[in-house]
Amino acid sequence: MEELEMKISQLVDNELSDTEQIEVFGVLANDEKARQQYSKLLMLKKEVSKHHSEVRTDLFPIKLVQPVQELPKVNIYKFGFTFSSVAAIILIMFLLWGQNENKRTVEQFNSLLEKYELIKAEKKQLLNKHEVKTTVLNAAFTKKRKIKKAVLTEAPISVNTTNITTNTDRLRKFTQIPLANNVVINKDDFIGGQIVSN
Amino acid sequence: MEKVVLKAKREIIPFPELYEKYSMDIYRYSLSILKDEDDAKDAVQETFFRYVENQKTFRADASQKTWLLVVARNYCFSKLKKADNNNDSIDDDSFDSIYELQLDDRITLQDALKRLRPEQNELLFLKEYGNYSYIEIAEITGDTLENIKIKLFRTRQKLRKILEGSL
Repeated sequence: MEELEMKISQLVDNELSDTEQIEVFGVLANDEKARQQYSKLLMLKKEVSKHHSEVRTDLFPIKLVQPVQELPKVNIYKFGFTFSSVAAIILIMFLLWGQNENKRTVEQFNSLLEKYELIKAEKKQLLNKHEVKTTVLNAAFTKKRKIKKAVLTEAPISVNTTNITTNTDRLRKFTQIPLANNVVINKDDFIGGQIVSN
Repeated sequence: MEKVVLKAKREIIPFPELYEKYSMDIYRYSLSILKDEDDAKDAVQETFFRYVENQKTFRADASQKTWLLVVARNYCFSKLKKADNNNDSIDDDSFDSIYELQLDDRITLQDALKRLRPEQNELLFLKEYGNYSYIEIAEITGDTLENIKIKLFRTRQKLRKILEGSL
């Protein structure tokens, strides 16, 4: 009996083969109880289906729920490998460039040092020249001063009038003979920076 | 008995469409097992979250709906198991007696379904509402085809008895 009930249950579910279906339908045609059971199972199936489809969907705010967007496909390992390789290459380049830079700096330093030495020597030469010039100038200047001083410290200048007897002679002498030989300039002839003639 | 595994390649539906199409079914299915609306909502969320998480590893061996149902099923039963552990496990008799207290003169289908065990409700849902074949049900539940036939038959028997008032 239970086997038949099970077959009826499978018939309701449409899970019997064609031959099995024919067999069960044959039994149902002759068995009132089996027919009742079949109709009850059909009713039950319908009711259960109805019950589940009547679930209050308003309780589930499906429209309010924002569907999650698909995550971008990023291969993290691939990205990591590429990134680290690039970083390594950049570091190596920096290292090499740094070494070249050191060499260049040392070369620059040496050339600057050479230039400095040259400039230093040049300066020394110039300074020596300048010193010589200054000594010459100083010597010249002191000589000049000495001469001037000597002139200035000479005894009071007096006009030699021994040969001049008259005014006319004096004039003649002034015009004919160079004045420097005949005129002695006294200290008193200086007024300010100018020489005032007699 | 060998477990049934369907290996037909199927088209993969994009996530937003998939959600629109199956979220309600997953909700109904979870509700049939958990009997609690909030828990069923949680189950839907968790199911789709797991789907997004494992989307890359998803192979179209089974249909996406079947995959979702299996995930939802696992979630629901693990939740029930946790609840059982917390309540010092309710045995068969005490499970039935809880609902017997609520029995009225005339028992409704909803009450009768509440008196069924979660596994039984699940089978009824998959067969009566989902219209899944025995093979598909076996795939979702991880059970054998023979067991599914017998379990479904016994579930119907029990439901009928509850409705007739003999249980």
